[in-house]
Amino acid sequence: MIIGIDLGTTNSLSAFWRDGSAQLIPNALGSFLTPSAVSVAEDGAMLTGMAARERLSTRPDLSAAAFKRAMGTNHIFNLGKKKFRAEDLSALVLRSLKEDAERHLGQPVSDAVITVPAYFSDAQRKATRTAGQLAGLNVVRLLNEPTAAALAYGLQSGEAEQRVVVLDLGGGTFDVSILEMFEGVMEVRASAGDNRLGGEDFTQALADEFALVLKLEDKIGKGRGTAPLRAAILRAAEVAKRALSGEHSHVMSVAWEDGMLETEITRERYDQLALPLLNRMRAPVERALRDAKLMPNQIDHLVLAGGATRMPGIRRLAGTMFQRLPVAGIGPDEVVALGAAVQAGLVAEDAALEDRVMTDVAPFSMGIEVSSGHQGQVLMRGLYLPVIERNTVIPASRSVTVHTLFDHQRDMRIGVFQGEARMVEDNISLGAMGIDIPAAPAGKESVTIRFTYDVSGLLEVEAVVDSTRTQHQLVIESQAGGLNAKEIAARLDMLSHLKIHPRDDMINVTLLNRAERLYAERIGPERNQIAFRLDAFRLVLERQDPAEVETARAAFTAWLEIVDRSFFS
Amino acid sequence: MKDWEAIWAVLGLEATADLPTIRRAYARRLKTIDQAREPDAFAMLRDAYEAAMKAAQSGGEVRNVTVRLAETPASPTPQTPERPPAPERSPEVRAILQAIVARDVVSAARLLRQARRECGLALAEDMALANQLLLTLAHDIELDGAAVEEAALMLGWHAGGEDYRRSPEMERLARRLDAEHWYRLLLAATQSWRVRLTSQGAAARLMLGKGRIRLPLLVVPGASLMQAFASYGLYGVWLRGRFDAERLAHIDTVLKSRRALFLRKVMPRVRRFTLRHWRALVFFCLVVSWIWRGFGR
Repeated sequence: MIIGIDLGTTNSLSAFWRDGSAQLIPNALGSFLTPSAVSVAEDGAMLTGMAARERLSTRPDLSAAAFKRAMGTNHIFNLGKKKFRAEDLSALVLRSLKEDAERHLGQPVSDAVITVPAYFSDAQRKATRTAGQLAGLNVVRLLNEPTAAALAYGLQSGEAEQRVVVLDLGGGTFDVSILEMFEGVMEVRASAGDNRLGGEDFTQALADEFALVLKLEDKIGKGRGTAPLRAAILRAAEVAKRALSGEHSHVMSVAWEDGMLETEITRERYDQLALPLLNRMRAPVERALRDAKLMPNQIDHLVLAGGATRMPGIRRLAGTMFQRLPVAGIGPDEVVALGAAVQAGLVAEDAALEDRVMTDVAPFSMGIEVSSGHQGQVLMRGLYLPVIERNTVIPASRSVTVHTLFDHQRDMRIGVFQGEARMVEDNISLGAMGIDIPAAPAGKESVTIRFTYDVSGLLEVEAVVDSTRTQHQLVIESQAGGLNAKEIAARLDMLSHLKIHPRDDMINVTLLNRAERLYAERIGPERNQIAFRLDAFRLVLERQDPAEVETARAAFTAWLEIVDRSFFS
Repeated sequence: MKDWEAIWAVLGLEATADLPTIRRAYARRLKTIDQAREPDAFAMLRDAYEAAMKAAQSGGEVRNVTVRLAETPASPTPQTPERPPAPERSPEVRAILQAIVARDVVSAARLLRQARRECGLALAEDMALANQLLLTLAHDIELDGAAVEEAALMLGWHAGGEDYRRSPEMERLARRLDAEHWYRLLLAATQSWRVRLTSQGAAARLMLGKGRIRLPLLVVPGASLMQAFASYGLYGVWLRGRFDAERLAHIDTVLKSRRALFLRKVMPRVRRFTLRHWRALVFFCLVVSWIWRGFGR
């Protein structure tokens, strides 16, 4: 059984393909969305999902979220005394999703299609695959998120020939893809994106505004002691962001040091704050259109994916840009996971998908560093020579031949880069290798460098010295930010020794954490009331009578629902 | 020349210029290939498809075409954009267009940037305006270099922007900006005392009309001068007005005279000999004298 997983910055989902349709998998709490958050409980057990998200504001030192943004880097998250890489935390989330799927399907799950932002770099893709391995999943395919969204959508739309643009604004990344559908073929024409633009940035903008208005900069600072305040402000900003999608103004309030910090934010002010972020969406859209050689009026449908596209500002911008209304139908949160499930069905060669096929593209150019010169005189160093141009249909394999520049040149350094800038220093380095060359006059020796880019978007580089036919393989895994096989084994061992909180008890823990978060957020009589009910529920839990726990939990949940009107899942 | 027979064989088609037929054939073949396991087969199919589509669209290179393009019943060619009904132009768009027509590129760029910041432009309008401005910047030779630079900087097109390889205009603009940059370097070389003393500085002064043209003076920066001439050949289109053409021609003829040629060919070798071999020669002499003295005692 192959499942499709949308591993998001804020929320993750899983889905599977059965009987000709994609279906979502509920988690232990009965919800489809599992927050991408990890926390360490006081007894040392690991919590994931909603239970961990509730602890973000009460125990920020023991919790982590938005770790997808650190994928492919060496950033270390400190949760109490434990240290984690982004891969480890993602693996914990993936593991809980896997467990949910196994419970739901009643059979072991070993394979998965995981979605990544189209604009994820090679290192980030490899980190995602590593996370899958650490969670005990065989990642059969990494799928680009906008492509997944279009897959889910394209299946609905039948055979008609059409061109679709997908704008995918997730928690942390923005992607654009332009697809063409004909004869059952879904062909991605072009992808572009911004790796550092997402819903979280809008939240951050609101949080910054809050701090600015109340002059809290010196209070917030960078110190450890103020982490709870920062987390509380971020949470209030998140609530405000959601409220401002519907209401005209919203009061942001944070309980701090036995008082309430409050300020009102209007829709106009929010739109002002969001403008610089919205501005950054235009360039990738335009580039994708140019690469696809299409004009905006040739687009038939506009699809919005990702939870952040619920914001009216973004819908308005997309509307102005394409002069048409976005397609409705599938929820923007779920569309990517459903698409991943479709891809899982395609990989498994499901009978219902026999007549469907999808081709994707490489979203960025990849190439090598070269110098231009003439008879031993170097004119320009550090030039970028693309080997695989962006928006080449994958899998693709391309090669270039480069020549020596000096007499008696004995070695050559091949730097591999990704990006579009003319000079390599402005592009992202993927790795480098040195190769030996027999001595000869300048320009007489040549090396053929072949780039192979597979369907999951992973790159292999091979260099052959033409005169001696010696081959060299560039191993990009050893690059900073990646893990080699030995390190993966070590991390796997570390993760297997972690104590994971039992899944069946998750619902109770989530409720307790939520009540504790509410306790921290409120003041006055409300706070005392929460404390009273919380203690009562704890006592019930300690008696361990399933029936009693069930009824108490139902009552407590109903009550909390009333208290926490701004609650969101 | 591509092997057209092989291309049509891969697609399983007779030669045709009918786009829907090619697409249908491609779709049919594609469904029989597993992209993950047979990347080579996929690459072959894809290359054939792209070549066939390109040929069919340009209508030229398709060999053995049985049906001529003109006679094909108006097949729905998806690539031709439908003319949109002339939209009501907003005042911003009109202002930008006016600025472009008046060749005031700096204010056109500023207005366009402003409109983009406010997110009020439809993408179609935006791209049309940007195209227009880019065309002006890349092709209008009379435009002031500084203005071109400022406008390009404002829209993020400096240093070629991110899309330098995609359109010939962008490449042309990048070359033009390079030319400005080079000219500025040349100018700086004539002014700074430190650079003035080097051969590059001398070459720059000669080219920009400072210093008299005499043969011995010319030979010293000979290589630098040749390099500068090569760059001028590349960038001259935009810089012609700033150089004295007669003077450049004169320098060129003097440089190409037989004596200059001889000096230019021989002097570097002498200099290279000095660099590489004098050191060895001196060392050798030292060793010899040391041995000589040793034997003397």
